[in-house]
Amino acid sequence: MLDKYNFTKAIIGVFLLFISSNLNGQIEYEDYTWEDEPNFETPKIVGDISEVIVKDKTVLEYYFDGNGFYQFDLRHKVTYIASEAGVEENNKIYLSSAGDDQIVYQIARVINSKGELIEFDEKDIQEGENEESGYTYKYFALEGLDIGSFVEVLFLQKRTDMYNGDREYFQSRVPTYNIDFELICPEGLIFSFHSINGLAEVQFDTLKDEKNYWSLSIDSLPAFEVEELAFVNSNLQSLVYKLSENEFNGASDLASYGSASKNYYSFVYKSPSKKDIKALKKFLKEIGINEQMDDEQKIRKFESYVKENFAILPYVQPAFAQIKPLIKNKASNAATFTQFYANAFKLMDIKHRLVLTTDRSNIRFDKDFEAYNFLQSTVFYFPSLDKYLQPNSANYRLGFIDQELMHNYGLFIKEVEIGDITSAIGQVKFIDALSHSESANNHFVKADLSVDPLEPEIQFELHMSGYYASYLQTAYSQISDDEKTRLEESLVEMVTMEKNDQAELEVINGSAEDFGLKPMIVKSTVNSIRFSEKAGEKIIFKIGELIGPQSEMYSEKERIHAVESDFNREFIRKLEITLPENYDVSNLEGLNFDVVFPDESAWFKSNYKLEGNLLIVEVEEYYKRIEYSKEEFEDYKKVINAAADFNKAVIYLTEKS
Amino acid sequence: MLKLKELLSLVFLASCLMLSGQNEDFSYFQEKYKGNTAVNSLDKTIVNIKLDKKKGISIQVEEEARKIFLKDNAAQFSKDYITFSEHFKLGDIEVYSLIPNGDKYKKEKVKEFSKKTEFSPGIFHNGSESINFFYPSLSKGSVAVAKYSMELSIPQLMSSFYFSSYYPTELREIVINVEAGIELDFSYQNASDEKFKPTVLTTRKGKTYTWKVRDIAPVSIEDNSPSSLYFSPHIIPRITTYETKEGNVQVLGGIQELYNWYSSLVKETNKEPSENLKEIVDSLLLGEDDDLEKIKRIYYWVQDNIRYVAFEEGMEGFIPDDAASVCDKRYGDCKGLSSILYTMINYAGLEAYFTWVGTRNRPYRYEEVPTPIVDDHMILSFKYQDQFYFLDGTSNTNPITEPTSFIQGKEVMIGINEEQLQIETVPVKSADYTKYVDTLRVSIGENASLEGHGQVTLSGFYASRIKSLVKLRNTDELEDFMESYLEKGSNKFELDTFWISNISDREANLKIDYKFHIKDYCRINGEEIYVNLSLNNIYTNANLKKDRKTPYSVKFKSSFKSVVILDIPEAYELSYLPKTQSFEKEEFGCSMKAVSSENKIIQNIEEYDNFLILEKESFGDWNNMIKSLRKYYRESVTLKKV
Repeated sequence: MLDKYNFTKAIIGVFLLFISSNLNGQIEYEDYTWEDEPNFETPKIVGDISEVIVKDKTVLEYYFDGNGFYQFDLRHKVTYIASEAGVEENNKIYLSSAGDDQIVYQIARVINSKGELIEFDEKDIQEGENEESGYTYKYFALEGLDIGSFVEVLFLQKRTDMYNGDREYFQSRVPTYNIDFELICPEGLIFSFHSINGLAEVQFDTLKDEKNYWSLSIDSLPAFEVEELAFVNSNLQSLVYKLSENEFNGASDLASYGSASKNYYSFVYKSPSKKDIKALKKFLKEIGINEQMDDEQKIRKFESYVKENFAILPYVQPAFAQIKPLIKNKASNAATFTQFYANAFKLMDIKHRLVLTTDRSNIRFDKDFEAYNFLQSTVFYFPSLDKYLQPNSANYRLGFIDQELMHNYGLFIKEVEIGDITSAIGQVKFIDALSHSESANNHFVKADLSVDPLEPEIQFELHMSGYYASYLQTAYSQISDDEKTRLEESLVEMVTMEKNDQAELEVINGSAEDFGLKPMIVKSTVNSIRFSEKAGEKIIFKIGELIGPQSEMYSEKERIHAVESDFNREFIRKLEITLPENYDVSNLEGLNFDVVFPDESAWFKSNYKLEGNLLIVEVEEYYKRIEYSKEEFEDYKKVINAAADFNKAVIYLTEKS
Repeated sequence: MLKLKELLSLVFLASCLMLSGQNEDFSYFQEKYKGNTAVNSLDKTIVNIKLDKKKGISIQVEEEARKIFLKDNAAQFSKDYITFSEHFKLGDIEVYSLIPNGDKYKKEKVKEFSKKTEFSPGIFHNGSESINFFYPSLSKGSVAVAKYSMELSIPQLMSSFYFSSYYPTELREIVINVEAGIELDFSYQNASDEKFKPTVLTTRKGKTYTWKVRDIAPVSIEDNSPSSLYFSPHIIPRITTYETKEGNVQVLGGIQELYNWYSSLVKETNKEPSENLKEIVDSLLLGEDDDLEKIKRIYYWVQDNIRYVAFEEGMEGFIPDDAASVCDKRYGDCKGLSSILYTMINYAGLEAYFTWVGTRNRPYRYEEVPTPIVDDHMILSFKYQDQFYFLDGTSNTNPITEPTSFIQGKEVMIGINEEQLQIETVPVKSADYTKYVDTLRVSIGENASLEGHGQVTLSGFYASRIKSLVKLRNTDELEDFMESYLEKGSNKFELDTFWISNISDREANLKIDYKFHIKDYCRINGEEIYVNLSLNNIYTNANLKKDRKTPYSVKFKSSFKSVVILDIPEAYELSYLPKTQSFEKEEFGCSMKAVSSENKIIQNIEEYDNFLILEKESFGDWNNMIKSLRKYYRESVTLKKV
């Protein structure tokens, strides 16, 4: 991810100049403060709720003060504390502000359950800083808080660069009442707004005293209900806004993807110096990139070397944020790594696109409303290979990027040549999720019950690929022997659910180069008492548990959100059980499952065959779609729960009489 | 808790001075430490303790850490930092990488540093900061070197020195130079071995103690270990006295001197009650004559109304906040909470005492380690009918008779008055005190489900813990919590309803009555039904690995009992019952028994953990017990059609 400084610089490009008549207008809410004697109404608590926001006022006012263009950001929030948990949640307040922003003031007070006002002392504010991120922190513990209190916080900041796209949240995990949002700016500037997840639309209010006013008032919003298989942040009622027109200079379509594409292109490819490019050429030669290699070989060689030998740091001094120092130091920040990769691909003559997108668990990329807050993460796309690459994550290799960046739209930036001039155009396209077969967690299990059916020898072969292998396979060769052993044991324990001293372990394809190409295989042989039970003379073999624990989904309440998975996936299991000679086996019919989602995008199927004393069970479980509507949830749940049902399957062994 | 961060800051960043300009021989380290990612090639600490006739004692610590990287991903270790605080002021820093260059090393100095406020989990504010930097150009074979010095402002706060770290260490050196006139004493922890004996050089100017230890294995990190202080070798130096013209000055000669210092700090706390606090106490004690009842009312009021927020900056780490201030704020750290209890109890005309204690994280006794390292917590003691009660304001559900679990068995230093102290030991509650009892009445329902109702009764630390968890949850969260807390049999367990009793009564057992069903739980095979009655199968995965290096530690002694009563359905009769078994040792044991009477089967499983720390010698027996439990768990009763 780009850090804020570089991101702003890279995307926004040259700051646009305003010519305004309104330089000395009064800021509307400059003297806003809280009431001397507040009288908040105690909210009616329905059910058992820990806290309620009874007032949530936000005013964003844009103004010129002669030195620049600023956002006056006022927040006035009152929270009613309804429980012990509410006290714990609210008795400490942390505020942070980014480098160039100024905290003008922040005050907080408590109106306790007896109605007493407890003002709070400036000297109790602790301050912190992080010189690397440029953030400063103010934090304090609120005094006198008890159940039935109101916590009132007033926070005013003066901020810069806040007009190219930003997001306001209105919904949270607690119910909110009396929401007021206002955006004010000089006449001649036009903001546009985009409401997400059912939030009411912002309305243009009025033009008075040479200022435009937009507003949104909502009486109440329910608490956000958290559900399995649905992201929180991306589903919250919220608002994206940006400055879209400046009538003073006739500029329209501001913060567009067209200009972002040009500016980002220029930052990535044109800002590196000749020295940088020379150093990069030399580096490519040193690591063995040559003309005989095809595109994929070059990319893999380059990526592999860089991800194993270099480190991405959250922050470096500007002098180190260039390609040449990056190569020398073997470390730099993410933005410089993007330049490094992009220019390397260019030097290697590999056709590629820069792609900017969002983490869809936080916010889905909007293909229609253009704003720069959607341009958060950079990946590369190679049209000839139809594969993506993520420069800032050491856990992936070509073909794999963070799953939340896929199944999402993105801005694809393509280089264009117009005469001698190179520039870029942007196009919004969908980044398809990877197919189910690319992320598999397959188990091949052989259990020999012929010697001791109560403590059989079991061979596990776990084949993991894609997102099931990324963190393991890419790190495996770099960790210590002790860590390797612990990792292997924990992988086997995830299936067997027991610690086993005698386990023999072997790993195949445990190198980062194998990631995305070959599955990582962990082989283990254990003797286990975990899978067999006794009922008198009979043996109950818990064959279903050989597929490892499976979660069971309940839904007593009606589903609220659509289902959204992280990625498509597959689970194939082959269980081969050698049965003891002198026993009869029964209950085999319980091993046949056939649960299929109507469009066949997800299924759980299993069947068995008995060949002499060898019982073979084959299981196929697939999830080929990321999203399901809430109406489809029940059918989807059936597939998930089929795995949990199979997990309970047992066979009975009865000694032959 | 007090100042933990500060004390550890030196420890984890401990390092050493380069010897005679020699650089590391990569092939030697690669061969010797194969399979490791990095090795501390040299880790050296020099402590200079000097006497300034005017300023008194000055302590300066020089550190040098040299770490050699053995894998390609060395650059992943680029980012590093040094922490410091008001008491441990950072002096000069020199940080550089040594990059392999043929047979030699090339030095790359770090020039850019940035400062950061450090936040520690669970501690709201402790005033510690860090200097951050990155080592340039690290690759396989590179060495990262950090040299820096620290100035220690309070002689009592001299830290411990550790021999091992997260990585293996080739050479650990500790040198303590102490000027004549200053007397030092040492406490050795897990370091009785001959190799941890220092060489001592005495000259006219003073003494030099030197430790040089080679080939030190890394600290083992395992689940449920006691704190590493229990097994990691370290030394704790302390200045006992020093000479001045006016005579000898006592610093930390023994327990009394440590107490004198603590006492001088507590003296600064204003112990007068505010009007507000007086009113609270008066209203709480209205009509109450019994002393213990009075204390209870005060203690429980503080537990209910004053929250724990940890502040540890500077001397705040040692001086309790004034009671009146804690009362107004409605929060305090452990010392602030002790302070308000102290003032309230004394205002009520009773006597209570500020009390220092090391939590179970610190394996020390006051006699052995009479320095502030010995403790990290403050409570209040109250004596009633010749028995001490230990009131811990950081707890919110413990009854007055129950000390917090994390100080059980630890020594406390009770401040009787400004001069006088008393050492006592916090009792360890027996396994019988903390009990989980689950009684189930179940029957076989439709489609092989198992259904019924149950009652969980919790006592002791279980009760306190669950009461405080329950208090912090709203209805939805509580349902989710109970669903998983009570889950048994399989993950098809569904909780139908539950009632919790005695949440707010600290002194009563917590009771949870519930109804549940488990789909597909019973196994029907023709004429037979198999039902596994070991629904509460605790400890299925509690066996300890043979190669485990560290002892096994639990929070408190406890016992467990599961009773399951199954109604035999009509037209069925019992055909198999598992055999009775038991396994009994002093430290732990279990018994499993099933009987039938009329149309019922009653299964009873009991287990007790009568230890806080299990040493390696007991692992074999422990694993045998787990195995016998597990073998019993896999036994089903068989019912057969009549």
